[in-house]
Amino acid sequence: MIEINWNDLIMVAGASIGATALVVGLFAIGVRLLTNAQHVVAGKGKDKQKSITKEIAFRLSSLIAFALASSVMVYGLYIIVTFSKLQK
Amino acid sequence: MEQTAFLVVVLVVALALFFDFTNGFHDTANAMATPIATGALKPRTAVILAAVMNLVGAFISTAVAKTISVDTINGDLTKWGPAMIFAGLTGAILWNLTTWFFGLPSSSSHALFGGLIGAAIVYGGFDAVNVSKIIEKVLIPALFAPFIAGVAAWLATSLAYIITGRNKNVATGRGKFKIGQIFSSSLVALSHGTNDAQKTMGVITLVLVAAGLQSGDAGVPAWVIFSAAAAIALGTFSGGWRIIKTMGHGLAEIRPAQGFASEVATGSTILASSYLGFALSTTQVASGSVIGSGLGRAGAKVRWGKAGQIVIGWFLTLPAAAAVGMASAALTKFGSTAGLVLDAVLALILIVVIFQLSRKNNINHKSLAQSDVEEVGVAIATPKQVRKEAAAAKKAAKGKGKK
Repeated sequence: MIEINWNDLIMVAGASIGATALVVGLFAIGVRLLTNAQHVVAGKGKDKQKSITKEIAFRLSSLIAFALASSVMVYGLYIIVTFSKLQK
Repeated sequence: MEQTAFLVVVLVVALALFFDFTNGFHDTANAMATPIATGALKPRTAVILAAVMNLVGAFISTAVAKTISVDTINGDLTKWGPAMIFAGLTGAILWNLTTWFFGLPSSSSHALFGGLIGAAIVYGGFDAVNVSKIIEKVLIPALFAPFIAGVAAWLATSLAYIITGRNKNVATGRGKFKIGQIFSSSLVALSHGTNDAQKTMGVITLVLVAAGLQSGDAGVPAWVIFSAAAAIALGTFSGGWRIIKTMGHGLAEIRPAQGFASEVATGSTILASSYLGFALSTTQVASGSVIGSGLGRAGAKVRWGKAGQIVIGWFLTLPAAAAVGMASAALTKFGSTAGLVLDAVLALILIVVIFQLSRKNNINHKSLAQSDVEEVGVAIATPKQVRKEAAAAKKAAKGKGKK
């Protein structure tokens, strides 16, 4: 008799689509913020300070976005290792 | 154990390792086709990275998950002896090489299932085949795997383009996805190593049990783990350039953001399915992801003709490998040791013929580097390559100055 575990299949679909969107979305935000930092126009006097602060803020927030995307990927790696150990 | 029986075991183990090798070079494309296509990695660097990740992956996981295809075959595979496994492997290898020759990304696991099923039919009759399990484990996943990965890649690509979208004449910075591609493709290669090397370890262990050299409940011997890991890594290093070309350029036009989305979708789908116990083919998942990422970018072309050929290849894999497995099993069953030797010689001749034919239209890392990579941009080079290129440019500038 054919037994298809539809619940597992739906969970695979949900987890795959959700995780992909999360990692790519975070990485894309990182790319956007980093490019924003590169587009900041250097001003003069007070504006110069403002533009420097703006650039640093963009760079820092892009780093956070990249770090979050990486940590989701590292979690994927962790799943491979622990799942393999569970199988043993 | 008599000498002939021992030689048969050696021959089957060697064939299993050769299957592992073909599995490696057949599936290099799953992880590395898109970073090569977008220029994120140079072809040679990509296959070295994939080989290392596959090697590491093979050592991470050594659990023989339900000793290979037992579900799809009724009864104990070991009762028919090593010759039956030999016949099954012949079917799997010849189909893998045929699809490689035509540049079609097909599932190596399904080829292995098919070969063993065909051989089991000859040895145990049609009752040996568990049709409902074939539908459950092979056909249904083949329908859903590319669809799930495709939707994930399509959504992620659209998201990446919306987030990084800017007005015309302003740099979008999407080239930065190339760096992400190095990590995402490594993750896919690693997960491939954990899944596919395990199958060969399972087959070799099965042969040892069938020959009475090992008890059924003993684990995988260390030499089996090392040799299977080395074989899949070596196969990956050889690079299945034909399939890399199909996956990287034959299915859709891929740019860095799409490549990254496609690899993350492949990695996530494989990991989620492994974790939840729903085995999906890496190749089918990767192909679905590439098509999905092609659909996700406005203006990108998806070559549906090629996609159709690939899907036909997927559905032919099981019966075609089974047919070769049956023919091979007929020789080993009715011809005894002489039949097995004849089978090995015929298989060797066919393998040599396929390799010779492939040389007429040779596709290698150099042709890929010249035609495809340079069109889409400069690959991320190692510091050594950067220094080398800078020195060459300096030398050329000096030469011009003197003139």
